Amino acid sequence: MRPDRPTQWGAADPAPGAGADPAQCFAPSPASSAGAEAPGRIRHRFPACPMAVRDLLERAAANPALAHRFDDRAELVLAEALNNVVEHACAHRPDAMIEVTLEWRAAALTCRIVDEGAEMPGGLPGVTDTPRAEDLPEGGFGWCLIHALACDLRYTRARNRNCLEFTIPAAP
Amino acid sequence: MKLESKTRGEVMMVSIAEQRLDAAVTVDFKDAMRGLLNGAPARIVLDMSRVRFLDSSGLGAIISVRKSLDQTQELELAELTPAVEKVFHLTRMDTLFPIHASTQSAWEPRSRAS
Repeated sequence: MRPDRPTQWGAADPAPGAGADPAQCFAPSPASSAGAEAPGRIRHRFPACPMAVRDLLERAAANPALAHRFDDRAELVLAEALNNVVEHACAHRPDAMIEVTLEWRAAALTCRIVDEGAEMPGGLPGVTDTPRAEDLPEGGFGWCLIHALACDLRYTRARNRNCLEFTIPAAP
Repeated sequence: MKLESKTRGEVMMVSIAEQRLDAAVTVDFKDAMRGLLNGAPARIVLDMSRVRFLDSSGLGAIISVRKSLDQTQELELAELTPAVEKVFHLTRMDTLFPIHASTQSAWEPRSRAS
């Protein structure tokens, strides 16, 4: 059964698009930071800081379960999405945690990011123009890159948590 | 953030001795570049050959360095790895910089049309 309503992270709720088990999301784990790993899937929970994001990306790239599927597109989109969480949603929350689940399903890498930070104001940003080079922009590229490379973007907010899901299709 | 610089004539080659230019190191990168740019010649070439990963924060930092130059100076890039080249291409910021296929060719004098 999969009720068609906004994602919740209660024990009785079905997995959102990424197919991860939401019952375990942020559930106490014996190895709190090591992450749960199954064949083709990794889950990792870490503090909202740039070095922890880098560590997660390096772990994912090196994980044999995702070998060759966590390519440079996946690394970039995940980095941009996680940078947003660290710099905006969790900007004043150094104690906040992020949980990332990556899974290879149906010829695509599905990614789910859950964080305890502030709600995304205005919801998921739509596709916008790339900043103009002649303006010498120092930012505003993050969502452009995400929209350019990711598919099936979905943002939900429930129980004081943000959930961003997307897929990276198999390389053409 | 480890940077190695070498100056020959009008070119200062700055090699980024890191695999990642990302949000974790952009402040360090900008600070380190600021130190090197003091008294730098007209052409500053960033050797990107060792940078395997660049995110939008790193891209913003490179543009910030470009903005900090005086009018007689230019920032150029050399040896972009495939993932880094993709970021410049997708954001169209590759139009902002002369890009050299190799560091060797970057040392050669540029013919300026002006």
